[in-house]
Amino acid sequence: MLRFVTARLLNMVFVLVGVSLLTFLVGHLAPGDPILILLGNNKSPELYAQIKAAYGLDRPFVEQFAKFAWRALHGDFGLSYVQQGQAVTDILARGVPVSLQIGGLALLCTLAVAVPLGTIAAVRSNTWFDNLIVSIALALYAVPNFILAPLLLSVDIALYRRGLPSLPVAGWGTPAHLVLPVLVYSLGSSAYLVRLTRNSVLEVLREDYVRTARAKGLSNRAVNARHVVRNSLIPIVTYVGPSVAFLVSGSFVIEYMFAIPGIGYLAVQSLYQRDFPVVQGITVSLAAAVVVMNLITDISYAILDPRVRYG
Amino acid sequence: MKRQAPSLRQIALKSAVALLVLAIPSAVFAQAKTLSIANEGIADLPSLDPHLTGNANSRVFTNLVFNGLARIDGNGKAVPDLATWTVSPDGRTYTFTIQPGARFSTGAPVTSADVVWSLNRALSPATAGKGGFGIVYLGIIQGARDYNSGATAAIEGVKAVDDTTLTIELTSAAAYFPSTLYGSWAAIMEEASGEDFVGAGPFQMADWAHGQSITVKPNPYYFGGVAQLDEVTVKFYANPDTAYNAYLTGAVDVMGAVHFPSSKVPEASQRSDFSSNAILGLTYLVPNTRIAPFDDPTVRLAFSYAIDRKALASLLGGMVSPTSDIVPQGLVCHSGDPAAPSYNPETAARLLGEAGYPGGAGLPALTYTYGANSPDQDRIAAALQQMWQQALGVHVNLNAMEMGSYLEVLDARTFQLAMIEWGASTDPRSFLSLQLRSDSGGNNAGYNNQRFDELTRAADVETVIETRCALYQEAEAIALGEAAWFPLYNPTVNVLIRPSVTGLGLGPLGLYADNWAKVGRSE
Repeated sequence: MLRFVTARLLNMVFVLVGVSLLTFLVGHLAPGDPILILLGNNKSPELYAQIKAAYGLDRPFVEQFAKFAWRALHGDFGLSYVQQGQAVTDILARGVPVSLQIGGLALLCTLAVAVPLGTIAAVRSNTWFDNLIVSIALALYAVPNFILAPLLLSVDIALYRRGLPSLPVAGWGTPAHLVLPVLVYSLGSSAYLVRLTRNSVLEVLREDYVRTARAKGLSNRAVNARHVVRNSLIPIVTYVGPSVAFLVSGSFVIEYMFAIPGIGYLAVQSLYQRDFPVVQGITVSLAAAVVVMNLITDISYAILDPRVRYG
Repeated sequence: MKRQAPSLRQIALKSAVALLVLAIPSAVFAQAKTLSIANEGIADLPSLDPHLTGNANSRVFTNLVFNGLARIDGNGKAVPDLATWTVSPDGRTYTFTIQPGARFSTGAPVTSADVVWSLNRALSPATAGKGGFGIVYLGIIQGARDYNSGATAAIEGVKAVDDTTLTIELTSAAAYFPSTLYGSWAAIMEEASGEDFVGAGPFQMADWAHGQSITVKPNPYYFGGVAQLDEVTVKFYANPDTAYNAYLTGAVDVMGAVHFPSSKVPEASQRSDFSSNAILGLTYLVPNTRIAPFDDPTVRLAFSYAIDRKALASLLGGMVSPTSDIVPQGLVCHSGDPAAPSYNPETAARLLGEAGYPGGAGLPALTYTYGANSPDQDRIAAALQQMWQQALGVHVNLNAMEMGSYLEVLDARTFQLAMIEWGASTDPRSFLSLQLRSDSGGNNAGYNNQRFDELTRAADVETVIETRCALYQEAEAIALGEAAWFPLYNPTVNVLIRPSVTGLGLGPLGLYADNWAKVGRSE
């Protein structure tokens, strides 16, 4: 186990260096000059050269990357091109907690709703309850969140117009601001997870060891809790692990639509404005989170399934 | 398993109750004298430094906190703000006298030393290095360019005479000079507060919640009176549709000033709190006059005559006003030249034939390049394609580009035909001299006409307004006669302003208050 973890951690270094190089390269090669965008209508050749030099963009590529990598190793992604005088790390530090809150809450809601529902649907498969759950899940899964959000919003606006209690349509700050985005966030992922859980539980229910457990005379409850649920967790853990990692990056669509100052909102803006230091900072942190979460997921496999051994 | 079902139901019930409880605070919040303004299309301001900004997004904030020596009134005219002025007979020296009672939000009086410091800061190499572009507007001040490039230690032409008087000397007479002083690039700040950005405007900075909003509170020393509002909050909505929803649910009192979602205009324009005003900007097509076939003025004219501007305007829900002129209506020196190429398919076809391409035969492959920043752009492009096909029999390919890449293409002049949306400007010089003169950096068309250059150079420094306009109008007629641009329409700014807001409306540059201190709430 220890050797496995060490090897994976070593791997992680390569992955991160690779991701940084790739991000840097893409930023470098992508069409769209950040300085031109910064200047807008007010361009003059002297001003252009002056600003380009100020950001070190006139240096050779290798030198730019070496500088970037050296700073990144020290947790410094440099200064934003667009947000004057602000360090990328400060910008990330503001956005990550927001995204974590929205995403974390949504993930908890998803798990709290989807795993029990999926399990019940499987245990009572082919009953009206199962059919209902599966149909709703399928419908929600098919509706993308950029359709779901305006639907919920129009209901909310209609409530407001009639003077009924309504929710804020955008922004951040009070618990009420969390409701709509978390709802949109979790409805779609619940739909997916319900189906995943149901299939996984169904599969386990058909296993020989479940039949054996029943034959031993164990109660339904004991069989389900001790044998079925635990064994059907592996696909769910596989889903949850990377999901946790992606909490760091937030949801581009949802944060944009609800004007939530998280990392997703920031990423979209930074891409539009060619704010490469911020984009690089986001990408590298996301990559680090994914690598770490994948490692944790792999370790938890071993805990859930004693047959899994790493050596 | 059976016991689980009721508990689930309970959870559902409880969460429904929780949702309702959460919803109540937003429904019953009471309002003091506050105002919140939506700032669309951006998630945050890049900086609070007025000398670094100047676009519509920043103006929503800078107008509240900063002011300059002059401002633009509701008729588009430059009028005194922090100072009154007189001009020397040769038109080259302006003497400014600071208004009595003008004070910063710290309480300190505005002195000529603050003005000298502010203008020097605005044009300093350090400010320019961060993206400050004051030199584009103030380059006419004697010694400004030398100072901006680092050759001198201060702007030679800006001098304090005494505590409340200063002189600004120009390189040549320029009638438009006061109109360049309104923007935030020429904002006056308190020298003693330095980089804390303290202004003498109606409000002062209170809070900046990054990615969400900026809040300002009254400047108790504002020389125009203490503001009636207790607080103004500028809220950022990167997605204009979100700002519209926020207005509908009472979260903002003003929306649309920067970017109104065009898909909502038909619905919103039915409302009584909707208003719309043509602003002094221009959307036009720019042909690359250095590459065949648009190096031939006759070909350019043919393409310009083939455009049905009215049809384009109605395609955009009628929320722009079609034009054939370069200088927008409402701006000084607007001519409304009847000879300007306007929709005439017969003339268009005839001209293309005269140019040697009857029915489009012999023309190279043509591409119209545009920045795809909204679905409207795609609709305009498709309509233009159809108009050229119908009137000229020419198939023009469409090339929609992401905005960042598009700007590069414009800059490098590697396009054949492109589109530019030029925002509000307060002087004809911005349209003619800065964008069509052969030596100007903003001349994307690569247009080169000696007579045009001479006329605009003379007009820029002419002080007699009638003579100045005559020069500009002659220059405009030359550019239109050779179809250096194909003007399409003047943009309109559309806003929703809650009826309880008083003293706030639309002016030639967008959202406008005659005096922000007098803006109030009637409820």
